[in-house]
Amino acid sequence: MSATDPSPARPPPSRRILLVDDDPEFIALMKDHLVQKRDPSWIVHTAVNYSEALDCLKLNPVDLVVLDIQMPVMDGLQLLTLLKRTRPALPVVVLSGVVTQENRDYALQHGAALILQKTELATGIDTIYPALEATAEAPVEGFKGMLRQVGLIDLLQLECLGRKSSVMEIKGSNADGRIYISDGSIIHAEFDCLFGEKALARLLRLKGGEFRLAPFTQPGRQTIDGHWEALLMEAAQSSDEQEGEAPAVQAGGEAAGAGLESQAAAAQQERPDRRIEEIIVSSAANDILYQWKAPEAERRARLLNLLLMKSAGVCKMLPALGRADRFEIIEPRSRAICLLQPDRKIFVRLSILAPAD
Amino acid sequence: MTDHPFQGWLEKAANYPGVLACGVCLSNQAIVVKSFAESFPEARIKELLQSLSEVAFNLRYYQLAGSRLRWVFEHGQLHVARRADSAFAVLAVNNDPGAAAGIEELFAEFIKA
Repeated sequence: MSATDPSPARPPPSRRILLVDDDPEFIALMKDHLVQKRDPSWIVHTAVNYSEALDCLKLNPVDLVVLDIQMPVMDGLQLLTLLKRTRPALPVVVLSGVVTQENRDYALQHGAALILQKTELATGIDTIYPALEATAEAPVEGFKGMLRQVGLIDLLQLECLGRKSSVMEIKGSNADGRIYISDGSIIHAEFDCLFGEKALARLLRLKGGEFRLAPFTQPGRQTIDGHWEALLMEAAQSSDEQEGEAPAVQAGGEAAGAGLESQAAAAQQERPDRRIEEIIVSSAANDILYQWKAPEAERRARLLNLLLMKSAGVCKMLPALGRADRFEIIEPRSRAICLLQPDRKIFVRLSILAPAD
Repeated sequence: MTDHPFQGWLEKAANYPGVLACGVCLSNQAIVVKSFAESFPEARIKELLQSLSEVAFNLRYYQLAGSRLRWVFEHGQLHVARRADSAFAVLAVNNDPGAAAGIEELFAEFIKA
């Protein structure tokens, strides 16, 4: 065919996937759906342990690997670590029956593009494939994913802790947004017609959507100039406080939804200004990773550890509460927020300024 | 134990949306509780109040005694309000957005009682 010949439209390429799971029934189920029920059908390789998986990767080009966590000899998380060391551009999805917080954190920190629970299969196997397709399509310089088990705050924390520079493009059901991260600092956010911290707060309130982590480009302007830990916690808190407004959107339809934007903006303006007084970030081993204006950082780190242990006690006492997220100490003119995660703990103290201040 | 000033308050909490259990640690350290959900048994709520009493003590040590505390979990929240006489009340609520207004109203009554 010469260069001038009109090219016929090519069918979309088949995805090449490697499923690694020691459960043959699960592999058969996935394979059946990917080969028989997808158009175009997927080319599916399977392996029941790490050894078969590595052999398969030597012999076959693969666009995506899906790993189970619980496997004998070398588990899925160990295999993930090995794969990301030897094939960093290969997208890996962790799909497991039980995804604990620890496993989720580990998988994200070690490069998993997506973490899915097998229980989602029970609610409709087809819901899982758009996520796999999006991940398999990911360009080398970034990745795509669906916001499911992975929270946007988790992703942002990982980008910031890793002092990375990137643009997180988020597609919600009604509007799109972007978060610009430069050298581990959030410098700009935009969502619909909002900018800055208001846009960030709205993006972090999204219950689901699709994201793409793209290489960093300089935004037209910088609208955020704060510490990311405090911004994320403020956003989480704002999300809690504003959740009460959500039913009004559903009840009132789109017109009320449009009004909510201005209500939220007005409410933000009516809130007294808050000033960050101190920040401490500590590791699982209680090492202080970061401190800002914190003369008693060691004491704060001990308090965070105590609260984490007490939280674990409360979770055992009342398992219906689920895992602990944060502890807040509230005074009329100040607030201390302790974010309690197994791998890191964050303390932020804020002053709430009266208008005269 | 029924003859304490907060019995009516504990009973009333049942009427508020999202409230799963409540309790009061009196200034003499006696604990009274009420549960409205099977997954929040009263014996556990008593243990919770004892644990919160220790947390409050530690917060004072760390010079962070708050008049209000909020402990946020995946499926629910624990709200604590402290009175001037050192009695404190706990409300265990689910994540129903409608619970917030009730918490403020109940705590306002607890402080005044």
